[in-house]
Amino acid sequence: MTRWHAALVTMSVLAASRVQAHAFGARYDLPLPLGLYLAAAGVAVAASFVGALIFLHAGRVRTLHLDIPVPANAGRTLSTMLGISGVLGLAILLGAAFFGPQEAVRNLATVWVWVIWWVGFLLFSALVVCLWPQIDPFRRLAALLAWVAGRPWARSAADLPSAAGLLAPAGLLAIAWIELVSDWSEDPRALGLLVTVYLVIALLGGLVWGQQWFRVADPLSRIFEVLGRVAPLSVASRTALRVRPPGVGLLARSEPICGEVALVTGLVGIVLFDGLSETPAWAAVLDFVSESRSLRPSLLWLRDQGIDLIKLIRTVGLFAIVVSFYGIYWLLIVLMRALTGGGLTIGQLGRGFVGTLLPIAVAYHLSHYISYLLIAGQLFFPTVSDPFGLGWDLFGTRNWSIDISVIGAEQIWWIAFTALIGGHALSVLIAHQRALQFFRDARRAALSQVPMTMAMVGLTVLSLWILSQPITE
Amino acid sequence: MHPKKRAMAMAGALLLCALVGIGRAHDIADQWPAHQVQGFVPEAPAKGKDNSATVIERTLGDGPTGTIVVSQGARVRLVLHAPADTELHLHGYDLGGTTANAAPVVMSFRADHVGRFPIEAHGVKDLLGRTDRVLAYIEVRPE
Repeated sequence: MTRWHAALVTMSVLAASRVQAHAFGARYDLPLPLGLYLAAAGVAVAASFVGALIFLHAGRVRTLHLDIPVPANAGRTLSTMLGISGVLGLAILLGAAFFGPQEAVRNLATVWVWVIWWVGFLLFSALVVCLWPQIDPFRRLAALLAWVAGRPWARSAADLPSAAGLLAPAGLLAIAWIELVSDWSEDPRALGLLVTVYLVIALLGGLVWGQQWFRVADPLSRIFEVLGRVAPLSVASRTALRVRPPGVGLLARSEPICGEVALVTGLVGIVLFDGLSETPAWAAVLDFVSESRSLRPSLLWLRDQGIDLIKLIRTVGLFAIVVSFYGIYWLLIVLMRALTGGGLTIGQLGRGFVGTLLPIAVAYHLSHYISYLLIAGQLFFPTVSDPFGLGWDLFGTRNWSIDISVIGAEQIWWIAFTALIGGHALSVLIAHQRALQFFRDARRAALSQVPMTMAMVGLTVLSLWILSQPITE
Repeated sequence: MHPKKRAMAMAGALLLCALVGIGRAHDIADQWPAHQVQGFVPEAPAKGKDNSATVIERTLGDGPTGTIVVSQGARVRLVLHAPADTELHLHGYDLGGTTANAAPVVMSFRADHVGRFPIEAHGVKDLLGRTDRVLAYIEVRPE
């Protein structure tokens, strides 16, 4: 055993290792090399040209899909099993949060929520199939409560005011703030409390408005629904599994729900903020603020009021990025409308095209988090063996030591390169098809895509730039 | 195909070729913006048996936070100076120690794992309340 291996094993066996505790959420990725970055940007631009040339011709947009029939019994059983595991998972999570070891790296709740679920399951929902409606324990428990209380579950859409849809982006922003800015995400008890609060709100919403609450207002249900549109598989109904090319779900013609644009631009902004906050540019901003003579008195005053300055700056940064993305998107839509002449309102255009940005955001999310998922995700193994801190070793993995060589820098680079090119090409393609759905003649559809494609190139290049920046704490 | 469209297609393809060409012309290993890379292999190897080790010496607060690049598999010895009772920690490899009086913290390891790893000092608070200060980054690059 080399000295290094011995050191790592010793480190991981040491209980309450302070040295490890604050490393929750650390990433050790090497920056994307310049050559790969430029080549990817070039391919993104070229793919945009090719997409425009090949796919723009008038005619009906046929969305290919194949419905695989699932026997009703199998569908129902599977759905129930998923539901039970969801509720069981929630119970174990809350138990671990309140009774387990109170350090982020040693608690099953923090590892499960922020690594396995918020990163892993989210990516799974966008890249494979979205099973959240079946697994969602909040929904299941709310339905159970409604049934016990004798309240109707399948209510009409008119009961819940459409403005309730704005709760979804608000909730998304709250979750992002908790994850990226506050300390609560790394405190198991606080996390348990937050999950309980969310559960109570979901139960009340389900009790009063039934299923509509989860269709319109519940942040998690809407986030997963939106991401599920990118996936190649979807649960079309209890008896059918739909297989389709990725992203085609974004072309579905459904009545958009209030807050859709804020939700999607919020997702894109949040995903990018995390990466932006690790760039040298951001560190330079913090250093500037820290060393600035003119800001010093105000900062000292704020600090004396008990305000954590780093959290304040990060909050400002998060909101600034999200609001900018929202604003830039609407400017884009105004430009699109100006180029194509009247006919459709800005609102209709905005809601219709916002989903097309998702493949790029998902690709960036994958590239940015794959190593985190594979490395920090390994913390699942030691934590699951002793979720409640009682000294158990249920699966024999109590002393599992993290292997950081499970994925190499070059593999991450090629995943990032492929994912962003693929995501960009998909975004451009889907946006062009959407344009053909909205504008019957090819010329107007082509014009509408000029600002959109440029914005997508910008987004892809920004994603690549972030990945090429050395991670700066 | 319409001549205009053909022209656009060719322009796109040319742009692609040009950029891929630029990319290929640079070695992945040494294409980094100059200001990011400071302090390559600065000191002579330490005396003693292990003459092939790369010795890196750093002092907390002395100079800008740079990046030290080593190849995968290299033997590295870190000599870190900081005020007394500062906890120093190399992330990823999870090596650390606390300074006592004037003695530096010395960490020896083989850079088996590729990645960008910060060397942090804990307990040194600045105006913004940050208690973790990075002395330097070690980038272990694939061979």
